[in-house]
Amino acid sequence: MPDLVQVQVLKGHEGQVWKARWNPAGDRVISCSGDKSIRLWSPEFPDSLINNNASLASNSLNWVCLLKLDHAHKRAVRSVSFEPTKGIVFASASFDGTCGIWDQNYSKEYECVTVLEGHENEVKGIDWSPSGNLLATCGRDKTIWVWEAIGDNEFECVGVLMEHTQDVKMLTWHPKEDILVSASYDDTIRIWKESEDEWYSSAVLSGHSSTVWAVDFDPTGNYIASCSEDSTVKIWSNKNSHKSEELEFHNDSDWECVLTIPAGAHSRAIYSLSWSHHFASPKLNSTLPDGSIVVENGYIATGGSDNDICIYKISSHLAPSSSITSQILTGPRNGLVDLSNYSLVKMEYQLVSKIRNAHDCCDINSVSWNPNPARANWLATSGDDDNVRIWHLSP
Amino acid sequence: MDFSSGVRLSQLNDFLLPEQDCIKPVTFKSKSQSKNSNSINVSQQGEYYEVSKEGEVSKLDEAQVNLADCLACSGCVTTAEAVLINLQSYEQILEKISSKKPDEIIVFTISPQTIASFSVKYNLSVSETKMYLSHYLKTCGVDYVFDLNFSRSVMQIEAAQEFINHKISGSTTPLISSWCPGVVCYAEKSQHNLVDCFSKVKSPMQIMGSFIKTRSSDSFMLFPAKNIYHVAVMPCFDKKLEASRPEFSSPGDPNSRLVDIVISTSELLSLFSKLNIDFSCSIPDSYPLASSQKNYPHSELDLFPHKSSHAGSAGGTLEFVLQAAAKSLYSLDIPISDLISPGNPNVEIKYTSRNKSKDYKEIIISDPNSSQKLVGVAVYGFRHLQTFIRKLKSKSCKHYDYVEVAACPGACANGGGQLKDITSVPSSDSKFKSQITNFTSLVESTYTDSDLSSLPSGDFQAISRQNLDLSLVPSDTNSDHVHPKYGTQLDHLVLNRESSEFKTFMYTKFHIVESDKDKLITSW
Repeated sequence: MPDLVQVQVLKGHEGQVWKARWNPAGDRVISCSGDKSIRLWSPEFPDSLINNNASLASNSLNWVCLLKLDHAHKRAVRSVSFEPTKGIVFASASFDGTCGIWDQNYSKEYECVTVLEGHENEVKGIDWSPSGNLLATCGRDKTIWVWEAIGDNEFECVGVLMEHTQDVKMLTWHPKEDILVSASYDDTIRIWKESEDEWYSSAVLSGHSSTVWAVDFDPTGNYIASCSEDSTVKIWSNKNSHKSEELEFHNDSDWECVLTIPAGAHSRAIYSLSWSHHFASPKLNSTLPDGSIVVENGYIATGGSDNDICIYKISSHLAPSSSITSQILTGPRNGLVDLSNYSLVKMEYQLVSKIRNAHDCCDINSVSWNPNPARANWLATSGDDDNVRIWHLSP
Repeated sequence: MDFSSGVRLSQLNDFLLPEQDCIKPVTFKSKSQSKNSNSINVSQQGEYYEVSKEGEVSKLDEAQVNLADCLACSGCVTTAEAVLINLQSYEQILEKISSKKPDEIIVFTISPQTIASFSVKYNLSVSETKMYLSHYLKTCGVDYVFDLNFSRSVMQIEAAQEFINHKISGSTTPLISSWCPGVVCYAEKSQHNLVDCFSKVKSPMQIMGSFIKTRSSDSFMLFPAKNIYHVAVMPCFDKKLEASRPEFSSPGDPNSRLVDIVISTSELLSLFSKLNIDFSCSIPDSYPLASSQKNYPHSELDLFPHKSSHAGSAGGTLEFVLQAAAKSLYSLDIPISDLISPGNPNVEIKYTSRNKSKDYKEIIISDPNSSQKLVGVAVYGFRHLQTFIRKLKSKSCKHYDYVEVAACPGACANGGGQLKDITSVPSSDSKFKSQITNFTSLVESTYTDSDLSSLPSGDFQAISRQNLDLSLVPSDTNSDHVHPKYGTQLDHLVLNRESSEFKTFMYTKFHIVESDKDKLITSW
């Protein structure tokens, strides 16, 4: 049974830590807090961050605080996101209503090079698109702003999206395409796309009975996981996404909830969720006599107000499409599954690890898997105990 | 109700922090000096009565929040929506029509974008549309139907003068147009640095209100302001907010608005349908149709030369102001068409947003005799407005001289109050989306290619010789009314340019709304 082990407690923040997230290479963790500061952490020897248990024994896992940006904002810093292509510049979102773009100057010191204004009040979420071209922010004013990087750390507003009827808690980009997903206090998830230079809401996913706190794509971008105040986790799939080459994220009816992890493992609101990057493409587990297959989709980590961290192993049962050829019937090669030849029969979950009071008796505000597949076993979490914690999953 | 983005962004209903005080402080009339505590009874009709210790019963007024209160508050416009529906709906007009007294008149002002919208929807020519609108309104009991282009021309001439003075004074900040109420509302609440740059000339709708509600010997409008019910039909809902601004009350009668009620183009259609008027039916044969226009060469519709300027549905103020300034400052004669499409060596037209959107356009006029340049910029749509605001804050648009801003992408043909081609639109379906785009672009081209886009060809005198009734024929039902001669009124005003009367007539002011936000900031 996989086991989650705490490796390090990163102490320093003087207020609740709202978010801890990895840089794109997965060798640093950035955190932001109610103490208005942003901190950057790294193991003394980042090479020790590999996917095996031996690394846990290594003494080289001493983490240090590389950077402390006090007074980064006038109020709490709620979220941070690294620019994904180079992993140097990062963006911050604050309750002071502004977002900051931070870059290194000639002496490699970080400074705020751009302030993005526009939100009427608290900015809650910020995320950089995988291409690095787009930056999305959301907040209490119910709006989502999409900004395009136009060079020299300057940005142009390309959309202000107002369809959510309440506070927008968090947003995230599709791992490959310019498709945005947002979670709101209005209990819905919205999918946003661009068409003819205009951003629009292409689908609304309803099903949660209370605030949706967070959303995350699986590494393939075919599934969306969401977690809610209603203590459940849901996984959503686009019916067409396996069939057509281009993702047709068009209509509400194209979307269905394929899995609900009911309240139970978590007894209260789930604030954060992260889908691990173990498999860039689902990994074949077994082939059944009828030609259908079982694949592994990695792990989902969750954390929230019951102070527990849960790790779910996600797998799915896929049936071959009617047009399947005999070659495929012999089974996928290299353990890599071409999803376009299969359709989902059933998605399943298994609770593989649960850490009680992971941040002592405090809320867990964020959980975040390492985005680097070679370091996919590493998890960073943050909580109201003012700490960031680093965990390792032993599969 | 589809407000523009600028207005919608300013409306919040709070749920995390204590609700901002959205209700104005209730003022108590100290009727009774008695210190004794009173009790309040509720009648069966739900009315509240105060009963003093002495047994005296008096009815209590209901606390009321009106639109002006909402505008003055930094918080929500949400409350305003409900108020709007009560105060500015076409049902109000129906009521007014049915209860109209002999000494009252009802006046409609129709925006050119409204005419374009109806023209496309019913496949009528622009002049037919004007005639139909006028005819149907008059059969309902409306006394006058005016063309907003009259007062728009007045506004544009004054705006050009204001800009020329602004340049002559050596000011280094751009002058920003203020006729879009969505932008004004957003700026007053959230972008105070814009407010300082706003043009102070009233919007065309309010100048029309000034003409209609200012009682002067020249106006021949013998009715006091309160007896004139002025309805404006506009392409956008935000105009309802503008009409409610406290500064837009009639001179001498604070209880009468310059514009009593604003309805959107789509609400006008609802009004017609409530009155059982089917706009798709042709009007009776007895009514002089377009073919007989020549019988009315000096018809009330004759505004400026019936000529399209091809300027867009924002109204052409940017182009007109630039043309007038180039003439005045550089002695350059530049046809309006050269400011719309390239060709003139002294004019450069650039689309400077990342996607080269038509909604962020710079028009640069170079004086061949000096190194001086005039830079006019059109910024339409909320997101381009944000780009402009970023430039203004970072001082990277120092070279901008005149900026025309509008909250809606594509400006006013695309206003939230315009007619829709299809009744209900699933937002997620891209097929419907392109259908809407087609309808809107038809409205835009109908507007730009007709006299709806006409611009003043000269100064105030050229306008004052024109009449402004929308109809092609004098109203048959109201022949006993003396016709207003706003041209004469304008002549009189212009002769007294420095008078306070002129300033009140043409100019307005803006208010910075301080945010309650800072008061509520908690330690985190």
